[in-house]
Amino acid sequence: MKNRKISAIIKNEIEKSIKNKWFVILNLLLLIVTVIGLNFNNLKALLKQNEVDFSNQMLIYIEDNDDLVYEELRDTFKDNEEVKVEKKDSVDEYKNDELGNDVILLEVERSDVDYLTASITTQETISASYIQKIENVLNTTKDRIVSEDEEISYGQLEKIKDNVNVNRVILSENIDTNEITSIVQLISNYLIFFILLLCLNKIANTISQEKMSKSIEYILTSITTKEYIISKVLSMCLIVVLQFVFMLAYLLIAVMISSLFTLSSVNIDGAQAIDISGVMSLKLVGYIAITFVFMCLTTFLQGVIQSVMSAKTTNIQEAGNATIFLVTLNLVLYTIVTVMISPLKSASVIAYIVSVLPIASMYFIPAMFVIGQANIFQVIISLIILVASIPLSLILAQKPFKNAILDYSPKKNKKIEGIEKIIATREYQERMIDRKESSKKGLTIGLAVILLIILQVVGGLLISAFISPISQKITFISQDSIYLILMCIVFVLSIYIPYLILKAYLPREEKKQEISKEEKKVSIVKCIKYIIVSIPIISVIQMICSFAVEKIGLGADVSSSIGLFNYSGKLATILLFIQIAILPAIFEELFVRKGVFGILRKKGAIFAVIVSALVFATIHMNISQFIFAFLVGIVFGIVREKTGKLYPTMILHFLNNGIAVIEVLFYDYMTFMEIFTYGIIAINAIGFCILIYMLYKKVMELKDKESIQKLKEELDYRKVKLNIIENLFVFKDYTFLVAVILSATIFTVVEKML
Amino acid sequence: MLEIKNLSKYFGIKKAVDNVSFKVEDGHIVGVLGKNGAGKSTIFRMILNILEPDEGEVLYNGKKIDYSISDKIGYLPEVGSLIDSYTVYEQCMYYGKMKSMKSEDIKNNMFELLEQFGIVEYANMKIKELSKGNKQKIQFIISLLHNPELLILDEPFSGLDPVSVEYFKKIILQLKEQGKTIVFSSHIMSQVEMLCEEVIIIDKGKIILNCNLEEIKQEYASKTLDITGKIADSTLKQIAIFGKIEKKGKDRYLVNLANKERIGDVFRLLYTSDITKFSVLNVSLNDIFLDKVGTAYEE
Repeated sequence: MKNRKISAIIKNEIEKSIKNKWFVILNLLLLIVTVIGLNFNNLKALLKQNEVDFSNQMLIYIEDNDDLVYEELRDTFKDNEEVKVEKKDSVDEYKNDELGNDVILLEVERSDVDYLTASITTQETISASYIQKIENVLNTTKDRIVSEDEEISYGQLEKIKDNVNVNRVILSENIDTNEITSIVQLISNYLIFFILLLCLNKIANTISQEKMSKSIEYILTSITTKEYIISKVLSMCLIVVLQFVFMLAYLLIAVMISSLFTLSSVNIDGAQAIDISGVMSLKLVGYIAITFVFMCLTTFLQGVIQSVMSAKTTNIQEAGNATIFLVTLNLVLYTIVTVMISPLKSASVIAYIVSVLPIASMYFIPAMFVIGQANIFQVIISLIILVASIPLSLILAQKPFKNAILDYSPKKNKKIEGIEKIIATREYQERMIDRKESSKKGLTIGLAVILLIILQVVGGLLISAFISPISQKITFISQDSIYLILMCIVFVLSIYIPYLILKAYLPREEKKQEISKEEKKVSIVKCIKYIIVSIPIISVIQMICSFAVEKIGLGADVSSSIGLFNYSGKLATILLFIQIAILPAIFEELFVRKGVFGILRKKGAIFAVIVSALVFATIHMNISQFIFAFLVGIVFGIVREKTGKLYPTMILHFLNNGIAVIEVLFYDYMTFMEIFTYGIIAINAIGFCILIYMLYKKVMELKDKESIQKLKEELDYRKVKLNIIENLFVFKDYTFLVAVILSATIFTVVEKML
Repeated sequence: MLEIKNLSKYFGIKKAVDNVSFKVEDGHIVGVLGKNGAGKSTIFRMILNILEPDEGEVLYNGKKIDYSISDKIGYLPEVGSLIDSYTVYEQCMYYGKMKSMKSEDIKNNMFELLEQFGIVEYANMKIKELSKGNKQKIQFIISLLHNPELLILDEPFSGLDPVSVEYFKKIILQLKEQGKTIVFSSHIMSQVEMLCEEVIIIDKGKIILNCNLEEIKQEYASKTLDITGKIADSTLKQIAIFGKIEKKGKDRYLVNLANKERIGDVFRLLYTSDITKFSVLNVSLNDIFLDKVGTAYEE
């Protein structure tokens, strides 16, 4: 009885979405795009062919000193007036960029091993049909030569040429299968994202819609909440699956059309068809199966979570926002997997633990399986946990879903008793304004960070695209130097432009009062003190981080960072030093310690320090550096707060980066390095001593009662809690967090792809 | 028989429904009257098992209401529950299926009801093209589609013009004759007054009045007499012994009796006077409400 109701909902839902005109339009578009996309080359060739008809002739220059192919080729194109076959003694002279679009260079030679070797040289935009015809001629010629040389008949030759039915057993993967596996992995990851995004969005929309039209109330009188959630999630998943079936159909149609093209132009006997049965290794089949199972289960689980989250929404905009959490979670998990799981190193214990958790397992298990790091127990345990989590989630989801779905009030605080009185106070209203301001600040910072990262990524891409034409024009400096100069420019612009956005929101500075020389001196001494004290702290952080990162399995890619220093020439070295040590010290500090810190300072020093450190870590755009940059960011933030000046952190930043560069650049100069290392150790030691002295002084200060009282007041639990809650409104609208997380993710993905 | 026992529901700190108990006999109409936000819809939702009560229970024919008998209950939600993009037929199909009906039955019942309401032409129109009143009619039709035993109507008259209200009234009375049990709510007093035998008045989640309308009206009404005619002063003085006299017009008097047993005595006293009208006054529900609660019921 109940099952019939569930199926009625599913049927209704699917019918509704298929009868929709947008569904039809979307699918028509998809069909057209797929067909055109897959037949793009054919279409181009078709257009080219038409062009040929009206314009130039096609010239085939053939270098055929043994007279093997020339005659037959001429016979083939005898009826085709546009094609002219010419014999040359050598075609090498034509082999340059100025080769016309209508010329095909063909070199044919007798070979003792292969009977016949040939090479074809053309421009990129040449009709494939000519090439195929030439290849056909070559093949028949080869057959002729073989039958003559070996004295066997054509019939025998055909038999010899027949493929052997080979039972393929793969012991070790070769490059081909690896390549295909990685392609499959990439495609399946995109598919998972696409499916998830579609499913979650659809669930959010349909539930929100039913809630808004209040039809949910009627339906819930007939079926239980659990059945409702199941039917909704299932129907949405089915719709998405259906869409994929349609897309597969389009793909098939497109492939069929494409093969029609090939068949009409040249007669080939199926040799062009790609035979994928050979490359489909057992591992790949397992990968696809595991991915599919995990994807189905996880999508369902996430659908249940999504339905609870969208039950709380009261309008369509909120319904859209409700998907942000899960989408972000998925992106983060994907990023973590790409960083943590690598065929070059064995997975850490943490990776194994995380991989059995539901949702995370969808990304971890297939990725670990494909590189042979997953063991059978891990797969089974994660599967059991995932399967068990589905009924559990359904049971847990019922109550919050029911409570939320019947609550039509847009604001939750309506229920609080006496809220009218509270609202009428000035403090309350001021706090509300404050919250709005906070979320605006969060939005500004988030947007600035996104802009920064996009500018850097786009800038990097532009540089790598234009580096070779530019270096051809400019010859008086090396390509490395040009590259570095461009990198510097991109770096400066990509930070300074977002900084300008932040600057617009910086509180106006009060006019500086005249400072006496004495005060100036005190402040400088203070700054120097803080700089020296910070150095050993940073060193310790660095040691701990490099140790921790290794343990977690987020191993830094040492090879790529060494590659960075592969530059030769004095100019390049100086530029490298500027790019890594000087520019970040100036501009990153300007962005983070002046921009972000300045905007957030009003919200409290601790909060400003933490958030600015978070931003600082994010703009490093490197997961393995994240923790280090975050901790160092906190130290820098404290220095900035205590000294009230920008230059101490700039100096610290410069020292930190500069030392690293010098260590790499002067690696071969033994004496210098020795002196340099001793110098650093000495500075560290001095800083450490001062640090201990300062701590001692602080402890002594705390001994007297007054300062203890003062400290207690500062650390009043309620006040701190209230402050934190108010401050968290910076993260309202998610914009800030999304900016931080998404941009890091995007960068990691882009980096992987490049 | 629908039995509601000590029902309570909290929303956060606020107690939306406070210890509500009442009974509805089979084939009776009960009107639940209360201002907006009094807790009517919450009670109905708990009857329908959409909301879980924090305390108390709901019994139908001695059995706790759950999804096994939900097919026997018809529900007209207070707020529009129709999906805009559907046609009337699709909507009926969808909701009918939710009540485990067969497609054929849904179609037949739908057309019967549409004919009864005189809106057959709307069968293939989209919900969003209908007026508010017509939407309400469609909702009513949907709640009747599966021929339920128990009907829960939450604000059935909202958005209707007076003619339609009369029409709805007629149909509800017809349903009562068919032996259906009906519980309906309204925030408009006159609507409750004209339809039901029993009335429950709810304020701030509590029942403040639960009675048979005729009985309570008689109880109140029989105490007030409306007399028109020339009455001698001596007679008036005699009547004044039984109750307070209020002169309304030239020859019109309202007599508020302390005891309704005295009507006959007053009548006997007047036999010599020249009386043109003698009636026992009808009291409106509002007067009763005023008497019970102390403040007038605002609409």
